[in-house]
Amino acid sequence: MTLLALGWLFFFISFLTGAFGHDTAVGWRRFGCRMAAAGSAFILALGITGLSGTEWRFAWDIPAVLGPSKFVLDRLSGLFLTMLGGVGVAASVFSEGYLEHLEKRWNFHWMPICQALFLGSMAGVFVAGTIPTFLFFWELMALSSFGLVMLDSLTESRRRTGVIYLAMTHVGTAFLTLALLWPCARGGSGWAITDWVAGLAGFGGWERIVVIACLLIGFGTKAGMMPFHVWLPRAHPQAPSHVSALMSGVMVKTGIYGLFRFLTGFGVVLHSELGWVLLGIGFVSMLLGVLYACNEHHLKTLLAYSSIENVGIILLALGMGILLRTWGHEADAALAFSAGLFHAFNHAFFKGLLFMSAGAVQATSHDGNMDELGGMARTIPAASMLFFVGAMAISCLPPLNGFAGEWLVYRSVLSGFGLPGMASKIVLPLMAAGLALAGALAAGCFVKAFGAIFLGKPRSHAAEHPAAPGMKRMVAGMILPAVACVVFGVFPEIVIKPLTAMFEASRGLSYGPYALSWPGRPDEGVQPLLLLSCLAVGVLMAWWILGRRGRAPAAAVVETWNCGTPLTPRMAYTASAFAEPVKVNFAWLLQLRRDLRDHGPLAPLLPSRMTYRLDTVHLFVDYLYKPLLRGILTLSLGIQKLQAGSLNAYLVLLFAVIVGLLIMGGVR
Amino acid sequence: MEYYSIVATWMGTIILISGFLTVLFRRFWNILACYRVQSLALAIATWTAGRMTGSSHLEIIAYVTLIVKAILIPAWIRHVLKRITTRTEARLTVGVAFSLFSAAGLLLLSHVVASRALYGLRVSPEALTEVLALVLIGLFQMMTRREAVTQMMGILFIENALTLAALQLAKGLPMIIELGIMLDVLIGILAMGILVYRIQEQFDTTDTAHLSTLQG
Amino acid sequence: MNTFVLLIVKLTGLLLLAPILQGMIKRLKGIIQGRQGPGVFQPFRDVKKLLAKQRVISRETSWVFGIAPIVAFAAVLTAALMVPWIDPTPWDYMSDLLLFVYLLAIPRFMMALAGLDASGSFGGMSSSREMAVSALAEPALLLALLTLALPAHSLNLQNLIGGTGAVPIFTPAGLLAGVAFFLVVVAELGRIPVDNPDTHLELTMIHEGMVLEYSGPQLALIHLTYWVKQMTLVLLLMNVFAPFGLTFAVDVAAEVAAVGWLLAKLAVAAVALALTETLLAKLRLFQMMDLMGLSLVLSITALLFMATGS
Repeated sequence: MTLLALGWLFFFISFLTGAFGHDTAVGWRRFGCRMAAAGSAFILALGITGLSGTEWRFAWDIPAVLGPSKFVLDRLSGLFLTMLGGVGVAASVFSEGYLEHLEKRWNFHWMPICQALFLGSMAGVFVAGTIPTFLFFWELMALSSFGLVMLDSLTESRRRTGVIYLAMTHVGTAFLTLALLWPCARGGSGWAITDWVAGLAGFGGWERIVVIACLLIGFGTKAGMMPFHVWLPRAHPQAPSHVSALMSGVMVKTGIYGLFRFLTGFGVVLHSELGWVLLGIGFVSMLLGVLYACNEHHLKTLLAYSSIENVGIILLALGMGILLRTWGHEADAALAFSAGLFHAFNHAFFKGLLFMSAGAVQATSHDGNMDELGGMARTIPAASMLFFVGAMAISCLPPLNGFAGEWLVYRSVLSGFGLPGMASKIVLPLMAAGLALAGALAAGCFVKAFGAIFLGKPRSHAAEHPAAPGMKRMVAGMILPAVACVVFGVFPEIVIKPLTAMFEASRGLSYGPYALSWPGRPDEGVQPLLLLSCLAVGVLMAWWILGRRGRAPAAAVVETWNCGTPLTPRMAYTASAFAEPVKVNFAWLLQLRRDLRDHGPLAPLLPSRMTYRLDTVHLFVDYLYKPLLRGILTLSLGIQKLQAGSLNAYLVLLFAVIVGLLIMGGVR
Repeated sequence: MEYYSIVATWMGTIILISGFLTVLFRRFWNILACYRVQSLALAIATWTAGRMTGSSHLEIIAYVTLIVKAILIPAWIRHVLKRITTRTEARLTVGVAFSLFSAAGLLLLSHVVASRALYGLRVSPEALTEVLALVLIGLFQMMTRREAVTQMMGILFIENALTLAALQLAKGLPMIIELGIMLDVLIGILAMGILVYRIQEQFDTTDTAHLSTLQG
Repeated sequence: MNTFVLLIVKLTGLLLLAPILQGMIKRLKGIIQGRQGPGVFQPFRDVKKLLAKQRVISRETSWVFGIAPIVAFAAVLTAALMVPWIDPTPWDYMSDLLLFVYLLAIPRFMMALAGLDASGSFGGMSSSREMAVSALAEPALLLALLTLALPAHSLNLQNLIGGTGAVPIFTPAGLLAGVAFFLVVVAELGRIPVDNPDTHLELTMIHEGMVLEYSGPQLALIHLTYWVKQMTLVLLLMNVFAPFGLTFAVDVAAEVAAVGWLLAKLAVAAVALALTETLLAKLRLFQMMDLMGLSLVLSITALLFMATGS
């Protein structure tokens, strides 16, 4: 409790620096960032104590505002608080350097205000023990993140993005409010999460379906699961990079947290249909997310789509866990849930790292369009190496944490094989193949991102700028998540052990001798430390082979071979060109729209100026949201006719409503 | 005995793979090669089945299959193809990737149907799955490709699948029926070949989409 | 200690046999094509020559260019040690199927980056194609192996062998999975019909384009990496799908016989690869995707058959 209070206190101080500090003073700004970092450090400590098994409950009566509030710390909230704290510290340290390049706009003192509120409210979401408290912090988080997205809202399109974000998040919250309050209201015994479970148990068929569907929509919107993801690739890139890191790394996980908190808890009765639905949603989110990421040439949008992919992977594990639980394999289910949580945990770190690197790139070049960058490994080598670590982790290459997480997800998906029913025998291996496809596409996507930004020749002047002024501080902030990527990859048991301990069924299981292993399968698994040493031996051997040059003279440095013509930056593959084969392969899914325009001949026989445009149709946007929007608009135009402007007409409506309500009441 | 069953397995697999390959290929010559290989595999499978069960009529059918389906019909189609100079590739109405995954989907469908149909019997549904899938893939091919030549080939592939069905599920049909079918196919293909040739001469294309101009 | 000795033996054998396999394929190809072909030991001479050569590197390269071949080599070597050679008994070294698949992704990742590093058009083109082909090859590889692994109820590569009772290539499912796996192996090795390993200057190239800027000892290392990878995949294909002559007993005679079988299998693989290289023509780029799609569909079919069979 002390830690939580200290964390909130420091966030409050950071809040005050924004509210009262002079926003042009560098000292104030740095002080604010450091306070935010200190607050996050306390949250990190709180998270670690929670994850290692300390539990507390704390009741705090604020009847006027929220009714009896309760704060609860257990392993689940501990895990998410660790994420929040870790990424929060890194992002706060990073922001100290990152903010230096931003122009001093009038609304920039809102940054520490909103950021402190954002960090504090996320911590609140993770420790809230009653539904009203949870919803209060949830809403606060949504509003403060809206403020952060709107910080730089000078253009119309940016404001539009903000509105889309606000609308989506509130639709989500509306569903969530229904899903969370209804069972409690029916149960009537209180507003704690246990009361919610008890209330749900009293529900019959369709009521339960409605509640679970609303829960899925509410939390899914926040988590960015398809088809409720449309706000995510718009809003995340627009926020300042350290905020994007927090949003993609942690805020998206509040949705995941909610799903795990409410669906995997003790006593929640689940049906296998829910498992299949989650598996399907996860599969679609994963594949479409990574495909859209591949086609994106704006770095931060690419990262946002990749977040959708990873949320899909987490949902896959969650769905698998639910299936296994309904089939009566409690122990495997516990491992599947842990796999999803572990992947969520890892994703927070590598995605945070990648967003911060994207921030470093943007701060240096003032451009996020990968087609215009290139060669930045020479101007910002440290950032390029850190991005490299993040890219390897997200492409789930061993021995980094992305692999450890995905290994567990794979195992949980495959552990369902052989269980009764044909579906499990066919669908589950296909899910595994889908995971492999997503993994390979993600690798291609990040090869593209890394190559287009850091390698080759600069494609524009933007990429030739010297490193941004605050680069050292930015790098300092990025080192923490990079170290986390390596440490949790090599020693995954640090997190997995406490995670599995969360579930009753997983106690006393026998594991193999390896750090990554599956209960009951003693002779298989992966030992990342052994793997690392093997890789090290291999590297030494390669080193030795390379060192045996004999009489060979020193290396000659020449131009890249280019068929004898001088090399220009326009010759290298751009990010868009790199993704072309993937686009063509999946053209049937992406529905490419090509537009080749000839602007008239320059002269006979001379090539004229041409423009080429390639767009992908975003299935859900074009086939779901646009018709829906049109429908709503038509509907509201129809309803508009009621707005006649005459007072008597309004009174008639009012009267009709009152009479209607009276009749309904009387009938009951 | 063991040896025969291995050969049967291999031939069954070759027939299935060549069925999938027809989805992949769009050149007439490649599809023809597929048909030739498939017929050869079918003949060998029939021959081994005859040896395994000791029935000589299957062996005779195997020889006839070899002559008619692996030699005569391909030779005739070859003859027709040589006259088609305007176009050597099938026009696709859907992408190859889509067709491939449709083929996989059809396979899943036939598997579900086959295992339902054979539920409770001590028969593994693999054979029925394979045959159903091959028939469906042949139909799918005819549906999505617009050349007269591919329509003709589609019929041949379906016919091969049905022969395989007779072989694997019913241990062969009576010889007179088998021979009758073979003759029918031979004459049908002869007629179709002539038709294709005529279409080509008349319209300089074998695109069946042009048939729509015939409507009154 | 035993494990350690075994590791050393495997490592030495690998580094000796992998170039010989390459030499055998080249020689056989030459003979089939009516040429004499280079000698079987030519790869050793190539490496020796390259090691003594001066490095010529591009001005545009960054730190990625230097580390890529080293990391790729280490990853491939680590993966190579997982594959069973003559005996299928598990030993104290993880041989996880998923780890194997993802270890093979490391060289791809590194070399694709190295291809982009020099800023030339060829490198970028090949990297882009490599990643696109592998996007489909990886699930196909995984699915083909899973077809055997799932009925065996183990993801340990060693347990795949003999896991289903019958010899896989004599069962419909195993045979289909084997064909699918062979297609993946061809794609992974960049051989015809997917890629042509013998030319540098075709616009269709994949693997050779990425290493275009490498020279001297680094190129030697890349060649070695490629040969080890080839050997690994061939051994996996042979030992998992046609597990003939594997020894289950600790017995000198049996082990000698098993080594004989091993060499025979490598020879068979060399003949198969040389034949496909000679008989087939290279496919157009976008038809390669269809080939990988075929491999996927075959794996799915195999899985269906396996699921009903077991």
